[in-house]
Amino acid sequence: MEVTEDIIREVEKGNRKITLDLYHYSFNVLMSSAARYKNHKEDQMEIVNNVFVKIVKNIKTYRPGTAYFSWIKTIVKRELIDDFRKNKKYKELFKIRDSDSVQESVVEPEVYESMDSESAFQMLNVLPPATKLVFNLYAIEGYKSKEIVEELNISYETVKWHIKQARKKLKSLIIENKISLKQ
Amino acid sequence: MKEEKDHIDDFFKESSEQSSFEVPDSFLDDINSKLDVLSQKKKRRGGFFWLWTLIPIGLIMMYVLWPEDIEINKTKSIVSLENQETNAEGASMDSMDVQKFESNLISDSLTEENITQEKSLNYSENRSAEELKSLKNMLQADAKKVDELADENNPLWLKEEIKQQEVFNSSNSNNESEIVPPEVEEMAIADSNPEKNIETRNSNINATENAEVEGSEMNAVKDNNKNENPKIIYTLDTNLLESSIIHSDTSESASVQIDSLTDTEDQDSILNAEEVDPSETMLAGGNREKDDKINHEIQLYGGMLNLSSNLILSNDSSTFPMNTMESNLWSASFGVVYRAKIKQFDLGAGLSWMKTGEKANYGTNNLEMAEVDSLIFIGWQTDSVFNQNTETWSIDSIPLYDSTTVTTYTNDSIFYNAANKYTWISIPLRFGYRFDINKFSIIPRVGIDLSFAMGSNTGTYAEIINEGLTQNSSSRFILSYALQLEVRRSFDRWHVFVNPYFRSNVTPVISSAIQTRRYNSWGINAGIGFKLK
Repeated sequence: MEVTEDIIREVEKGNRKITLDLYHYSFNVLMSSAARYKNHKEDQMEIVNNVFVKIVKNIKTYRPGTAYFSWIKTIVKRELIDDFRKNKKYKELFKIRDSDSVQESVVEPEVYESMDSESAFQMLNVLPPATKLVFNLYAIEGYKSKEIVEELNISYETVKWHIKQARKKLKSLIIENKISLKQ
Repeated sequence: MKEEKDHIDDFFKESSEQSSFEVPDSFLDDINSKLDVLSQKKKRRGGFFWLWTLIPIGLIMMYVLWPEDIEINKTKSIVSLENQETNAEGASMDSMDVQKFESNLISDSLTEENITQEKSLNYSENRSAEELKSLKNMLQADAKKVDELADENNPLWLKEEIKQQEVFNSSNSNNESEIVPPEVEEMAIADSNPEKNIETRNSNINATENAEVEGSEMNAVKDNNKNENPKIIYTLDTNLLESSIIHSDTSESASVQIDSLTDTEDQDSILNAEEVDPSETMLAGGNREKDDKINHEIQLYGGMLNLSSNLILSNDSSTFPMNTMESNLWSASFGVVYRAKIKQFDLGAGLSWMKTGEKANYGTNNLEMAEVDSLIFIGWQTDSVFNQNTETWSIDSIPLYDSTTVTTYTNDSIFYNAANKYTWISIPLRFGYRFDINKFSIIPRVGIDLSFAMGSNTGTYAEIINEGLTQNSSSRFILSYALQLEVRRSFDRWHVFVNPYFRSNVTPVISSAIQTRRYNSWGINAGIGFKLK
């Protein structure tokens, strides 16, 4: 499916069939983003469907021929950050706690090959919300540390700390996973 | 180490890209309901658009069509009334006497009615000649019927009267100055002096009444079995002649008397439409102009305005960064205004509805935060032996965490991302001057608005850092000044206009210890206006 001018026109008109086709087409991208940030199905659904409603509302701003998935990824990222900021005390989540510190461990490269994407999602869900958000933005969405500082209005050191913590935690989970796989 | 970091990042990135999901039914149900809500909103917006578009169009159409319909209906009712009366009389009349009397009476009533009607018709500039012609034709047809009935009754006395009339006319034309009755003289004066035409019409009615009296004299003539008394005939003829002279310059048929009696209204109509002295019409208009030195109008309008806050803060604006977190607001306004034009001066007063306010985006992330880069332990060291002469003090600091930052943030993280709106009912008072250019007018105006708050009219503001948001109520009354430039295109009794304007509050809308807030607005109104009679 390619998002052409005809499709845009039909979606604007409110053609339900075409709109739902577009929903199916966009779902994988939306859901993979939502699943990385939200643990519960209901929360994921809220994010995915809210983003899709925004896509429908603003479909006329999309220029056919340009990267559709990049466009919707930007929308979903904005939605996720806004959703995080809706939490009135979200900055407290970024507070650095020594108790959260995890011992660094080393993972051999071949370990990654034995793991699938589902277990990767499960591991991400183990991370604390703030750490998960920062790591997702940095490692998966490709944000730079400076951009995360601006988006979340937290200090550079805080961003670095959360990234470091996420890596440590994920490594330890991978090692645990490896052990369980061996067993 | 770096390689390992890249490994883990890439692993999760690739996992994310490889993932695939099926659309669950619950997701589809939810998105369907959300899309339903969205389409309903769109429809509602569309409905409002059409409503606001159709209302002014409807008003214009109503005004354009309504007055014409009323006039046509009036004409039709007059014609039908005349037809009914004429038919009724045609059916019931046995003798010509009765017929003449009846015709006379009908013509009188028609004359009175139509003189009244004529006055209103004179005012009607749109009265078409075609309408008048059709009216004339209908009345002429009625008159012909009466003539035919008269012929059927074979009134020999009438023929003789006609002969007498012809004789009299010929002698009259020779000795016009001697025989012309006072009414004719008056008519002549009236012709030369159009200002007296209205009075002349009144005498016209009198003349018709005289003709009615002559009807009884005509009875006497018939009863005397054609033993005409020249004096009586003369009286009759002169009166009929008066009537014909007064009502028609072109009375030429043999049945001149009956025509003059039955066609009074017809000829009046013709006079109005075709033969009336243009100076008369102008005079009528001129008199009206003199009478209506003050032109009254009513205007209906609606429009959009863009509002910006004129904010005065009692302290450093960086301490209260409201102005950096607010943006302009678009709002609608509508109203009705009465205007009076005295010479070229324009005075107006009305009632309008409008909103003021601003969009606010007070986010905690925009509020100031306190940040401590590192926690430092500070100690004081003195020499072991307290000796006043050699006393030394040294201060040293030991950073406990040199690679981490301890950051503290404000705890009152409250968001407010909405518009503060205040609704007002205003009484606009305006003064202007009209520059007329053909059908267009340019009217610069100045004025004041007396605005009264509707409802609670509260707004949310981030006045003080770390203390959350505050609710402020607007003033119940505000005074504003306004500058306008109306451009209008006039039609017959109505006009359309556009009216760009600037409006600024003189008294503050919000007044607190921290802020004094007024609003400036640029806007444009468009609407339709009607002349009042």
